[in-house]
Parts: sequence; structure tokens; C-alpha cells
Amino acid sequence: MRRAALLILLLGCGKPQGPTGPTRAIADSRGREIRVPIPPRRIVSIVPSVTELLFTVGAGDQVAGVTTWCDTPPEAKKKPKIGSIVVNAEALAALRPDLIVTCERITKDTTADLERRGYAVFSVDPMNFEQIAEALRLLGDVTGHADEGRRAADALLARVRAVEARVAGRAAPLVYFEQSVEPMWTTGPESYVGDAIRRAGGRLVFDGGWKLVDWESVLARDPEVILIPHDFREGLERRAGWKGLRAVKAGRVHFVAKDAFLYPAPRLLQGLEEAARLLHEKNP
Amino acid sequence: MRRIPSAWAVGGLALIAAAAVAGSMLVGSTPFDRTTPTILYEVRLGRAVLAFLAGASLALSGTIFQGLFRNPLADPFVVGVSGGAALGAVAAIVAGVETTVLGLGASSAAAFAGGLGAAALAYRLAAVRGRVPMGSLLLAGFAIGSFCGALLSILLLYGSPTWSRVVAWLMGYISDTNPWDRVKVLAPCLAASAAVAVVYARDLDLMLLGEEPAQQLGVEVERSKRLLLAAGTVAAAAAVAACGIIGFVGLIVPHVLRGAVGPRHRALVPVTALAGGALLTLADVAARAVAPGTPLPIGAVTALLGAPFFVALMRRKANRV
Repeated sequence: MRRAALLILLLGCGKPQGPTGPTRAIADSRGREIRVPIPPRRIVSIVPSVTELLFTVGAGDQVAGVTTWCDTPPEAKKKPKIGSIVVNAEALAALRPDLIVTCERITKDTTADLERRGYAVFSVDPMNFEQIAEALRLLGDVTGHADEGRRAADALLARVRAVEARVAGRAAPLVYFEQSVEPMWTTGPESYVGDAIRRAGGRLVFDGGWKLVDWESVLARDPEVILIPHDFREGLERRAGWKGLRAVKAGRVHFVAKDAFLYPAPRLLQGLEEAARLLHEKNP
Repeated sequence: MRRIPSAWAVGGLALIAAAAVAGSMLVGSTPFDRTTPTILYEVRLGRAVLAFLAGASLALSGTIFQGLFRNPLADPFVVGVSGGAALGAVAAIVAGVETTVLGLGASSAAAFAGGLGAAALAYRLAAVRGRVPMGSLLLAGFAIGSFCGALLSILLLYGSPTWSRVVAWLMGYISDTNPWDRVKVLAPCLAASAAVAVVYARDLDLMLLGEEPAQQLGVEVERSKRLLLAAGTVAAAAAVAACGIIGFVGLIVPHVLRGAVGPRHRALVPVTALAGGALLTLADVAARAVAPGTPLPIGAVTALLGAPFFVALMRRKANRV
């Protein structure tokens, strides 16, 4: 009896079994054809934004595990955890996932490792609102909630268009978005946060996507609005040349909700709407 | 190697350092004709002076520790300063503590406290009946450094990921955001440490003979050791608090210059401090010229430039034997 139990235990620790039921091939953000079970019933998300996307399309019940950082929606917090930045292989195996969903850009090494171990890994990697909408449609399709995915995508884009209509034709102020300090992490228009600020009617002082910059570059560009989502707010006025910046003189340094500008997921709408309000309403 | 007279060395290095600082004002992400006085003086000059002081502090600290430990491979971090400082800084970053102490952010203040605390603890652990054998101190410093490193890894895994900040800090980063605030803290620490090192230079010389012979020649060994350790630790901790962990400068500069100007500390102390300062300023200029506008981890730059130079020197020496 005990020997049999041990045997079962050992077998259970072996290679993850591929999906046992029917599967179909769907191309993910890497352009790879992934064999996805129809429908997946034990999904593990290893990225917070992906968790939010899955719940948004109504696949929350199929989610078997998430990371400790997955806090949106609140129901996600009740799901079993597979680790934080590092995936705990044992915890993951114990959940017997039939599909792992990720954002390849931020889990490259982990993903390669998981695929070597035989897991089916599906990636979405949205870089702007259209792509977030596309990811919603795709994940809706993957999880068997195609209609809900389409509806969520349309609702998202409708809110984006509404903001765009509100700020249309207004002069776009020069915006510096400071994601983090020491060193300064910022973004140009080519990231999902940059996309949100651009659509909110702002012109970012840096070009490209996410990047590290020095303070001199910020001073030289003299932004008209500064948006700060990070917590390191003390000592701002001690920065070299701070008081001479146009944004500071005009009282247009705004502290914004970190969560609203951190994830390529529906939460980014809050960032978009907040940015539009701060950039274009008379007395924010 | 032929010895260079120390007065020449000091003069020459002072000129190089001044040139490096001046050069530093010409290089940056903004074309020179579009710079403003704020950019030139508050940002660029401040950053150059900060780099100079940090380099000088590290080289001075390395000189003191190499002398005390009678080991050319000792560096500013042998008694656990870097481990304690890293733990302090990262704990402050992860916890999101946000006070300013003497114009320094919480992470810098915590780094300074952590560095001093680790070294003091190593000293206490190594002490046996009022004496501190240097071998024990080395081991205690190593143990504390490893212990702090372990705590640091745990913090990094479970704390909130403010990665760029933590990584920049651990790899050394000369900030141009409020450089003069950092200078104001670093300068007095360096001055105090340098004063101790100059006053006790002769004791350091004599201790190279061994602690007992030094005692017989009139050195109050334990007292001198304590003061010099404190000086080396304060300089290292201040540099780390201001700029993060910058390796190589504190090891290579005293090592190389001992060959060039001789082992006497009265000459070695000012020469290494100047050379360390000049080296780090030049490394900073080089980094800014190569990647304008992008902050590079300065510790990586010093190692990148320093390591091949070090190896070349080592091979030249080996060939001569």
C-alpha cells in the first residue's frame, strides 16, 4: 500500500503530462503555434497583467494559479500562488496546469525553462491599447470565451476613443513620465504607457520606448508636465535645477497612481483617463 | 619599476584630476552650446566632483586596508562594508522608506549605517581580550559580508521589485540628480579619513613589519589599528552611500601606485587618493562620452577599463622576475 502510494507520488513528480483531451494550434505573440487544450481548464498565469486579462475575458474560474503580485481583480488574490518573480517549479507542478499564459518580454528565461519541461506556454505581449484589445480577443478565444473577449475588447477601445475625442484639437503639453529614480526610468511614446500618455493628449519629451535617462537630459528638455507614479517623492525639490523647470513653476508636477501606469491590461484605462484629466482640465 | 618622486606624482596627478573634472564639464547628453548654467555647474561639475571624491575615498580606504592587512589584495570592502551597506540600502529601497538625512535619501543613509555597522560588528567579533588579530578580522568581515549577502538575496526575491534602482545601486551609479548634496556628505568623511591616514602614516609603515616589531618601535598598535580601521571604513561607507558599490578602484589604485611611488604611506596616501579620484572621474567621462544620456553602471566601467590594465601590469611584472 505504502509502496504503491510512493510509486504514485514519484510518477506524479515526473514530466508534466501534455493535455490529454483535444487540442488545437493557436499562434501566440511570438508567432509560435501553441497546442492549446479545448478548452484549457487549469490555466496558470505567471504575469500580473495576464492574470487581469484572463479575468477580464471571464476565464477567472479556469485560472488555477497566479503569482504573488497578481492583485487585480481582487478575486485573483485568492488563487494558489506559483511564486513571485521566480516560478516555484514544485508549486507549479502541483497545480498540474494544462496551459501557462505569460508575457514573453518579461519572462523570457522562465518561459524557455518551462517549455523545456514540457509545459504549453502561450504568450501575449501588448504594447498599446489596440494590442491590449487584441490580447483580450485572443485570450477569450483561447479560453473558450470568444464573445466575452470581443465585448471586453470593444468596451476597452470605446473608452479609449472617448478620451481621444475629449482631448482632440487641444495643444499637447510636453510630458516627462518618471517611472523610477536613481537612475531615471522613463518612456517615450513606444510603450503601452507612452501610448496612454500620447492618446491622453501629451507629447513625451523622450522618444522610443522604455529607457534609462540621466537628469541632465530631463533638464535640457524642460518638460511642461511631470507625471510621477513612483514612491520616491521626497527630495524632489533638492534636485539640481528643479525649481527652474517649467512644470515646477506652473505647479504641474503630478503624483499619479502607480498601478494605473504599470500594466498592459485594462487598468491602463485609469492611467489614460487620469493623464487626460491632468493634462487638459483647467484646474486639476 | 623605477620610483617616481612623490612630489612629482602628487603634482602630476592633481593636474590630471583637474583636467578630468574640467573635461567632465564638456561632456554630457546636451550639446555644449545648448547647456545652461544649471546643467554646467549644478549637474556636470557636481557629478565630476562627486566622482572624484568617491574615487579618492575608495582608493584611500584600499590603501589603509592593504597596509593594515599587509595584503595587496585587500580592498575597501574586506571588513564587510559593502555587504552591510548593500543590505541597508536595499532594505530601505524595498521598504520604500522616504526620509531625507542630511540631504541624502533614505537608501544612502541606510547604506552608510549598514556599512559602518557591519564593520563594527566584524571588529567586535574578532576581538579577543582587547586585541584584534587581523586574520580574525578578515574572516569575521568575510562571514558578515556573506551573511548580509544572503539576507540581501532573500529581500530581493520577496521584496517589491524596484529593480533598476537596486541594480544601479549594487553596480555603482554616479547620480547627476543632486550631486552636491552627496558631495556635502562625502567630503567631510573623506577629509577626516585622510587626516587620520596622514597622521598615522608612519604607524602604517611600521606595521608592515608586523605588529610586534611595530609595538617595539613605539607604535600603540591596537589604538592605531582601531583609528585606521575606522578611517578606512568611514571612507568606504561614505563612498558607497554616495555612489553605490564601485569595485576595482580601491583595489587596483593602491596596488599599482605602491609599485610606482614606494610603500611609504606619507606619500602613498595623497597619491592614491588623487589617482583614485582622477580614475573614477575619467571613467565617468568615458561612460558619458560613449553613451550620452544613458546612465551606465560606473562599477562596470571601472572594471571594464581596469581589469585589462591590471592584467597587463601583472604580466609585465611576472615577465621581469
